[in-house]
Amino acid sequence: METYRISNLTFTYPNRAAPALDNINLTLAQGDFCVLCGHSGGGKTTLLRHLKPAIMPHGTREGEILFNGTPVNDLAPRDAAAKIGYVSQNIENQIVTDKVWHELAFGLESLGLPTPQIRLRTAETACFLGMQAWFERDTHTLSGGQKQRLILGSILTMHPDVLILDEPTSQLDPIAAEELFTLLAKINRELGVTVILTEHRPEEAFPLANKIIVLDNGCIIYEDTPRNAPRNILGILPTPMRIFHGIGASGTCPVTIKEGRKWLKTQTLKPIPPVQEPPPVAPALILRDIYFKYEKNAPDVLTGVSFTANKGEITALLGGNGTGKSTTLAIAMGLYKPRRGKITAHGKITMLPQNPTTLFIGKTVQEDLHEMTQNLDELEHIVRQCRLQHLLDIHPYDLSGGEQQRTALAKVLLTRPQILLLDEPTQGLDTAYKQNFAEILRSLANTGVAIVLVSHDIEFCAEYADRCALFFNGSIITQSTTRAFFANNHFYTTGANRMTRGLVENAVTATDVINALQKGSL
Amino acid sequence: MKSHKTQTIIFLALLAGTAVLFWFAFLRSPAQNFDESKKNAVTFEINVKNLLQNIQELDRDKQELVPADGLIFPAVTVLAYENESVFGILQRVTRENRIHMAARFTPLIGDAYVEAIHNIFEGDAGALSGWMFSVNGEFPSVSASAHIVQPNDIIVWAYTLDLGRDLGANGEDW
Amino acid sequence: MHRDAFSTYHPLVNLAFFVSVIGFAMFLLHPVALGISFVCAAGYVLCIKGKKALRFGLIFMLPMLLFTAAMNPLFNHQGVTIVAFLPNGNPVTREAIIYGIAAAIMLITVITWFACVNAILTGDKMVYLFGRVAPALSLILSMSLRFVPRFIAQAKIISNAQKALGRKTSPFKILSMLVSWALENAIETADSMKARGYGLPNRTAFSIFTFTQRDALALLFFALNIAVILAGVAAGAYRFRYFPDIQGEWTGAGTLAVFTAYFLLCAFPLFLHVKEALYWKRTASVI
Repeated sequence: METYRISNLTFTYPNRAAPALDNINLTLAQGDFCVLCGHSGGGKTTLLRHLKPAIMPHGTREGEILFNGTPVNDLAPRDAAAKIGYVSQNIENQIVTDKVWHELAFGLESLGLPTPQIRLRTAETACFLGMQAWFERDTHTLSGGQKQRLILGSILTMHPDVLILDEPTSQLDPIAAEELFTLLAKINRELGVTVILTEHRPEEAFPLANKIIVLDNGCIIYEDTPRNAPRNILGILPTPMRIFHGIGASGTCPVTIKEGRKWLKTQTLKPIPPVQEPPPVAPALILRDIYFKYEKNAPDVLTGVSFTANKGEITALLGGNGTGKSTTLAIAMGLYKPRRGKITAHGKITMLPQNPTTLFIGKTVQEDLHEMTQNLDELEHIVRQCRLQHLLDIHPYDLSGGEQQRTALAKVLLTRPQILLLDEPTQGLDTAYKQNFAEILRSLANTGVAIVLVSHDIEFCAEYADRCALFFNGSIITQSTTRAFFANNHFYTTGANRMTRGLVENAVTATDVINALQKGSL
Repeated sequence: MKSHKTQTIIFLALLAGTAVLFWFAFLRSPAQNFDESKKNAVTFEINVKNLLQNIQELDRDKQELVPADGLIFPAVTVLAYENESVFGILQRVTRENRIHMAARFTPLIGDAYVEAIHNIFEGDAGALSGWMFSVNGEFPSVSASAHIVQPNDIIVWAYTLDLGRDLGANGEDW
Repeated sequence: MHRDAFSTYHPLVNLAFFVSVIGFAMFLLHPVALGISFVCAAGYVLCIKGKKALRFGLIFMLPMLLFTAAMNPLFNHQGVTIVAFLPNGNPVTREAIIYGIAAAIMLITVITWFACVNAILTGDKMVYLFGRVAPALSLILSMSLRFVPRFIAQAKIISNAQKALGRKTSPFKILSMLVSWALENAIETADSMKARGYGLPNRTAFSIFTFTQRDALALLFFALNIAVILAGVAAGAYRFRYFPDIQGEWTGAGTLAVFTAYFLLCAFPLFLHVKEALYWKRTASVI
């Protein structure tokens, strides 16, 4: 029996003209690992919410959703709670209690299980997920990855048949994201739990899935195995597949880096010339030998950070979580004083923080922007630059992630900075938004603004940054032009670079490889 | 760091100020304007006769303080200065004879209200018990520190168990 | 802070101990009882909080003790032994001075015991204790413990973000933003709870605390000592008065029994802690 059978599902939110889901037909077999892709606003979250009766959205609905043969709204509440597990996007908001063990037991308490049984199940789940070491800790002391693991654990204790996850890795760095995928694969493989999740990062998710569904404007435009995707639908395919379809190749499409390399070895690649070092530009922000720690008795967080950001350039600071990247930005901004070292800034600095909602004060976007300046010309210019024209009357909290990011950017730009700092600006954005955002940044850089961004999105930085620096252990290990940076790294680099190692030099983006192949095949 | 120093100074100043106010309100000795050169005589007595029959009403720990005849200070003639108040005489007599006496003073005015004599406090024998004074058999309606003594007055300080009714006062003062 | 043995006991044992010890501290004013309670409280708080407690004691408790002890004779005029006279004529008695000191010590002892409570009865233990009585209340307490540090952190983040725009925002504005943020995110939290079955009837409350034989023995130990103390007090073996003059039992058999029982009770956690520390010291030196 299929876990889910959805027939002719059409759903419209209240007071909207167009349906959010349009005639969806979909089956999920027991044990499937399904990845749901598509641009923001395409209906992914709406569809996922229809799979769990407790959080189904309000609106006009037609069609049928069967779970293990029963209509989903006819399920006994206890079954609906226990058998269907749902993990939503924001990790922090889903944790309810103050202790790890209490969070694990939360669902079981709700189900009314007696204490000995709860004790057994939580212990078992903690072991399975490798959580024994932090079983008794306070929840607010956990890292992002640990919190995500805890949320999964609190659902697994209820022994669900299906796990539904809405962008589970959007707030995690690449390492934690990879760990999560490995964990999900393990759960799917060893427990037979059906998994369906939405994801913007195809690289790790595609190899694990046995089914990909692409949703665009509420309609399913692709439903099949990852490998059979006919082209780069909506630009969401992982690097090897993108390259394969980019040159219109035929045969079996490679999905993983390993398969990609194997396939590349059968192709002819023309060498890629190294990019010339660009002419020297005036520096805008210089940090020299910064030492800093948060508390007197704590070890140094920054141990001699030195770097330069130039006018008109986009500089990216890369590195894992907890290495000191955000702290460096905060210090450059003047929020904290370093105990040693010098900061020189030629011009005004402002920063776009990690969470854009922390900037919003007004009830509409218009009000928020008005708060920054009264000058109507300036407002109009920024609105146009950040593409906010049709969003002006909406409450900032009602905007999508990408729209919130752009609104926050507009607010920051209204302070007319010469140096712009951005903390993880592309977290959770889809490829279309990222491109959009990058274009805005580029046009800004062209007016002479120095842009420094902290990111662990390697692909984004490879595509759009001029210079990159690698953070490790409290200091900057290396800083160079983007191309040289990624070409020289072995692990911390793009998929395209890893795929072409030893086969061709200086390939950083998928486009590079496509060009190298096309030139070769001419 | 400079603000820290100013904070401490302000704090200490406030503390000192409070102490001075405190002193003025509660500890200062009340003004006495009697004339030491002019001397008179009055009869003075302190008794707890009402407790002799009702000793069980008194706080257990205080019962041993009650003298067998109920007289803490027998009726004798004592010195009284011109313009001295009843309270002034009480304070002088108890001081000279090493009898314990404690009074409450209204802050800043210094009006005296006798709380205890010989460690027998008001309230020790029920909520209505306390000390009252009579002058020539009458119970004045003013406080002991306001009533000026005349020559040859008979002053009696007695302990009542019911707001003066057992002493013959008609309860107006209360 | 070394590991503390008493905090590993079941929360009910912790609670029973502190309730009885603080209760007795407030009502047993016999100088020996005060001394016992104070020494045990001070000793225990130094064990679990170390130097910090000593500093706190010297900076805050000592002045408070001196102040309270000095205040009492200024207003309390009970007592047969007159030592001096105040400017307004009221007597300063020896009994009032001594009582003042006793009351001050009682105050400090209770405060110190509360400091111990703070360290031993942690949030999750309170949640558990509440949960026995009202499961819903315990969940609310647990959620509050989760949200308070989160809100504080978020307020700092918002404040920093505003500073990053290069301007100062009034605390009211930040509070308003914090409230909007909290309400907005509360919806997701509510969904998360609903998704995991919150609201289904017959909710249970889980705890990781198991009641062992050791805990039962501890409670029995407390009960015995408390019984002796109460019996002694009722029988008058523990009589002590400060006014009008100081009188009390010091050496009767009943009095000594109460002293011993009181000491055994108050010193229980201190004794456990020291025993544990010595054990580790010994084994460490053997390794």
